[in-house]
Amino acid sequence: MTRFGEFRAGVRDVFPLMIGIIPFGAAFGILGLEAGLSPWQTFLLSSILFAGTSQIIFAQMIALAAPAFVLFSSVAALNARHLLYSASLSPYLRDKPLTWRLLLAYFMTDEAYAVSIVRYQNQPANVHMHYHLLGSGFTLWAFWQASTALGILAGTAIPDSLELGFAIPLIFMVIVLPLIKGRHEIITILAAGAIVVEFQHLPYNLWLLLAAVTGICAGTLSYLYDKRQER
Amino acid sequence: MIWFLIIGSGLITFGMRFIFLTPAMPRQLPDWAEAAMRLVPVAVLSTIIISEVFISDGALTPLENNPRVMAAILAGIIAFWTKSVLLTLAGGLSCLYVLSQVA
Repeated sequence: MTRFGEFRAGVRDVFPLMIGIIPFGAAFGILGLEAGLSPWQTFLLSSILFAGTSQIIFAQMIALAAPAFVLFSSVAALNARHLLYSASLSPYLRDKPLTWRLLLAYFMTDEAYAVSIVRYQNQPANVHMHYHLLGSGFTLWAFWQASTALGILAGTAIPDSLELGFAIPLIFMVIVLPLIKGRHEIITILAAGAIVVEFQHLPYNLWLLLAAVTGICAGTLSYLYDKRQER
Repeated sequence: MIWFLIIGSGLITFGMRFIFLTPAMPRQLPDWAEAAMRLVPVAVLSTIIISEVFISDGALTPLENNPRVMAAILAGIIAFWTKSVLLTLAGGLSCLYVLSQVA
């Protein structure tokens, strides 16, 4: 396979996912403005952060006037899954030159990772295979920037009577529901929910962080308990 | 201040994307860390969902005058069946709009 062949395969593999990316990016554009970010801040967040769900969390934290460390820890926690992507792509990319690794790290998103790791694991290796992730990542990047811009332009034309802030939890439901695979996820949600309801009085919106951490700990304990039972 | 938050968040995220592409890092994370990481999106996002649906002004909204619960249930059903952001938003937002006009 040539360089261009790998690149084109990456573009082709990720392309069907763009149907979901366009409304998601547009929704972020609209919500960024709603949260009080300027059009430029909203637009550049899509290229500087370039991680959809965490961008919406970012907007939500700005709207809530959360302190910096709560915002940073939420973004970090949410994007920690990239550590998994990075670790699993490592065997295929770690020997490439530094500039390539920096570039491909920048393009490492959920969708690009999903299609490129399938190629790396299921098809024969070759010296140009890093071009596959470049193709999938770049395609996603271009659609993401364009749809953010679309949302920013549309955002000014939407009537105030629609409660657009409520779009955030609705979008999150589309993301979370398929992730619920069993008991551990349910326990995570119940633990987080209990903290949300009981700890609203904490200063600096600390309940946000406490709820997420408690949920993760509860779910992980449930996972470890199940594993022990198996032995 | 906002630019500081934007660039800081960008650097944190980029760092996590890059770190395992350096030859010095171990190839595998411990099992429990992988399990915990898989739960992070569920925990963070459901925290936001629950607070947006059930809480207003720092207190539990009384169920009998909270149209968001109905709107969220409808949107949840649509999200579960279609996995479509567009259809879920259309269903949930219009349900909330209609209910808050009626009330």
